[in-house]
Amino acid sequence: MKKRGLEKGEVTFLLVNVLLGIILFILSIQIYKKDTTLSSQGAFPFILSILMMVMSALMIVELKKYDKVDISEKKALVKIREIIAYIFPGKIFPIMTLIVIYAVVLPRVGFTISTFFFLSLSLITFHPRDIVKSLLISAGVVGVILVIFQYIFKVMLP
Amino acid sequence: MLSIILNPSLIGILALFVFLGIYVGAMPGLSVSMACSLLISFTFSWEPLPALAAMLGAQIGGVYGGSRAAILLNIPGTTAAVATSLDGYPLAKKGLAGEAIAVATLSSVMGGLIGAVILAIGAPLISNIALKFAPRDYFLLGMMGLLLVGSLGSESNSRGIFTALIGLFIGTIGLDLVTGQQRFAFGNTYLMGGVNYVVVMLGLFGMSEALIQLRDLSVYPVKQKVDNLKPDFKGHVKYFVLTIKSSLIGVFVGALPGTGGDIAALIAYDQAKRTTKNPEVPFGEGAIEGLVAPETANNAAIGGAYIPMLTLGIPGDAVTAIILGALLIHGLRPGPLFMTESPDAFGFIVAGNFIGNIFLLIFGFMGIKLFTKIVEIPKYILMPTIIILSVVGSYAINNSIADIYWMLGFGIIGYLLKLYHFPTAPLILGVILSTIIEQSFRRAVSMAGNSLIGFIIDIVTNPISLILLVAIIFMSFSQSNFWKKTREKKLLNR
Repeated sequence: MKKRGLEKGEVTFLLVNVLLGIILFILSIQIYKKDTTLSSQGAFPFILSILMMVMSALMIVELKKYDKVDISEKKALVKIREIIAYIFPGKIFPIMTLIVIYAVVLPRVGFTISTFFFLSLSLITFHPRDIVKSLLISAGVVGVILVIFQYIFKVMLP
Repeated sequence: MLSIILNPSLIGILALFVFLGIYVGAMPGLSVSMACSLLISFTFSWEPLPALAAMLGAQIGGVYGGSRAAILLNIPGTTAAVATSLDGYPLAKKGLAGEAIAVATLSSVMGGLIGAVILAIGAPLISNIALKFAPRDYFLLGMMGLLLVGSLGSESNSRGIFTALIGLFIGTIGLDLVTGQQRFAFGNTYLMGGVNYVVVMLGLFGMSEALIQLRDLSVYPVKQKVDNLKPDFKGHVKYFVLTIKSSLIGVFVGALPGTGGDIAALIAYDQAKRTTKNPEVPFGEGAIEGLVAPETANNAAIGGAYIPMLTLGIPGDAVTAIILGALLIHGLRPGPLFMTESPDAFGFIVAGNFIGNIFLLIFGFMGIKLFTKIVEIPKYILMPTIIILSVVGSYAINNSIADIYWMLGFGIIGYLLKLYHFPTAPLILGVILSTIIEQSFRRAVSMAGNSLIGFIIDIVTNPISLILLVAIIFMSFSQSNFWKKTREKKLLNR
């Protein structure tokens, strides 16, 4: 099988996983030391955290099987920009921002209005020229969701 | 019981969701796991059997639906249809798309029916054996499932197992079931109740998948002409032996905890390629056998995957893990006593597998024009809608805004995991299996006097536990780099 190259920021992500393993190990050991028997409430998470650290170490070791690690002499700032561009390409960042705003606004203004605006703005983000079409599609989708979920599935909407 | 199983409204729901499932499976970007996780939350307030009918229908239709995109677009609609595209698409390019879809439909129905028969016969047998299982056996079975799903479904064993471990960890958050003390809750009242696995599923299969799909907004217009969409029962008879063989592979692989239709289909395809002497058309260039084998196996795997889920409470794949979650939410407890405690639910699942496949036979031969229209719905409309459905679904479980925030959080985590080639299915399986694995482990070590050596002695001196341990060791070894390299060397020397 053809080797794939490392993605931008993959090494950083693996290091975050190593860190996660260490943090969970520290938290688990605090629970485990209250009762060190194998059937105690802390034993299972303690074992899991050790295994997580082992697996994250293995993931680091396995880096050698991928095409060259990016160790070019680029400045840190350039590298960070490249990672951000990889994680949030195209319209992903605006969409994620819209999702966060939607989640914050939702409990305050209700489902129908917030969903209509979220969907309209998302569609406009992708196709800025089709504003009317986007508004009509959003109204249609929100209408269908309301009918299906409120009346057929009888789901309580936020 | 028959009157419950043959209830017209249940059959109607099953039929409707088989139909919808075909289109979900057929659309690149939508998956059966995504559909079932959304359905859990939307059918939350329903009675258990209608909810089960909806999910079962979506699963049967969805697994088959993947073949349509594989044949017409060379893009498997589901992972279970990866092998289908190898010969399905070459057939479509030769102008035989209609024949290819007809063969895929008949094969899927045959596989599904055989899977249902084996489920009906096998589940009671396994249940009887499972009654003899001790807590250590459940612990070993759970670990086996996680090891398998962690290693088979990803490019690196360590990444798969790591995500499974994260899942197990998430499952430990909240009040300890034995002592009632907090674990990783940090005094937060929401966390004390534990993280709801439906919220995790919606984040990982709904929102994160939608974000991943939004990275590439390509539309796939259907360029192949589809005609002659008629079942050729007589012509299919010559593939009888292959159908039976592929079904058995499908059921067996599907029944292994942690594996699923995708692996079953690939193994069945490989077996067909090796054992079919003189196919009319070479494999990879439009061999009908290359279509029959994977399509039969992936649908047979559905019945197989239900066997460990219903009898042991250990799901066979990600979709049955979601359905296990649904059963638990509706107060049903899969395990060795499931058949005696919930005979209606068990009977309905078996009967639903039969009836659902009959509907598949009907719907599989119609609606192809509708399919070509639906598949062209732009992703930029579809994916934000999936995000909204995930929001609605996560709220519907407890009517809690906090659940929406957690779903969004898991959506972003899932997005990063997928971006860096980590599989997400082991994480879900880990969350769902966490309680059973931990409780079984704690009971088993208590019975062994809280001693690790005693626990190991218990395992090696009990036949069932020993068989499970040997299976785990064998599976781990066969997935190791050492084993893979040795096999590659042997193949090169031949």
